[in-house]
Amino acid sequence: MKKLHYILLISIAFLVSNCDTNDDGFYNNVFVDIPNLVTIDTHPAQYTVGEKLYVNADFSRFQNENGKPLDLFKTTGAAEFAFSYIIEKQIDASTWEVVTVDESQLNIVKGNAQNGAYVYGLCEYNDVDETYEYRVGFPLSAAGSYRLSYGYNSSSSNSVELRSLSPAARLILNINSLVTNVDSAGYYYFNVN
Amino acid sequence: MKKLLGLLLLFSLASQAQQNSIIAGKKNEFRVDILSAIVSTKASLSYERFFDGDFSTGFNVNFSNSNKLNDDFDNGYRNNVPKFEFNPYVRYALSKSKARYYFAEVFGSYNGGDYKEIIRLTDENGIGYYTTQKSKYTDFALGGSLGYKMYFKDAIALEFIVGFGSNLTNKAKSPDVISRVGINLGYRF
Repeated sequence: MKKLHYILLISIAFLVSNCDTNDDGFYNNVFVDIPNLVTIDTHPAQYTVGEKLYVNADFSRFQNENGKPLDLFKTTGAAEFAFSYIIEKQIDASTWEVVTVDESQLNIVKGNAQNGAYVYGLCEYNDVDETYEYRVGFPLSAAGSYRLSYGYNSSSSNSVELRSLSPAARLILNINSLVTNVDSAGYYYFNVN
Repeated sequence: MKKLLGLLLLFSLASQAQQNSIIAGKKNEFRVDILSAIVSTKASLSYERFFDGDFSTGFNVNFSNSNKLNDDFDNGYRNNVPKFEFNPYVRYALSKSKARYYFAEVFGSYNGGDYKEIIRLTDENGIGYYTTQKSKYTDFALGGSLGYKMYFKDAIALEFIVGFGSNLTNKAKSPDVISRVGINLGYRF
């Protein structure tokens, strides 16, 4: 019985000696609202097979945060901001299927992108003109009805979330950026013929 | 046979009473927490003064410089990192034996460390930016503990203790909870 007491006390001691309290969290995250950082190339809603759908993000390190200037680069030291979007094709009246292409088929003009279940876009910092840049074309290789949304990693329907890829121990800036050309559910619809 | 067993029991009780008497005659004890030293890179030293009867009092001081906590603090997984504690306490022995007994204690804690917060500044060109600012915090906590202590050779103490306290006056910056957990090795004299 005494051995049991010893084991119990030692176990409790070890378990709670390094236990965490509610002080844990992410205390290096900053959240701001800056609209219209990501856009889709202006184009009629009708595309033709073989065309590409271009998504752009080209924004200065100096932004307006609720009427006050904010230096994104000085805040984060980040060489990249990441965001994501997803392109789906309509299969039947109520079914949409994610369109995936080989990364080599993406037309990466500026920045970088990875394609899987969604497109992971990276806006890269250009220190010449002090802007973060992204312009990537997604190939439309089959006719049909399509839609694009920014909600894969987000709960918001009318905005896209950009997150700085900051060096270790630097602040991480999370930008909630309103987008236009999407409906109330957060979709940009287009057709390919 | 019954006589033999009775004699053995008597001898055992007499021996225990003698051991209790020897230990009770030693009123002071110093201890070092070996669990904190290994797990938390924390130097934790305690002193205890024993009174006649079941009460004792003392204090514990500890200083921490854990690489893990410092890294977590720098990387933003926590906004404070405790550096020191001074914990006075009063104990009550829950068992009759002086050689092996459970105890309960109430303790206070004057504790402090580093605190970090995110602030918005403006540079010389009037452009705003966010950055972190470090400062010091101190707080006072109250709490309670339970433990078990045993003596070897009437002087060497081995003590297990588990306790928690709550900071009271500066919770915005200090940790909400103070833990008093350890395996202490000590010497009573």
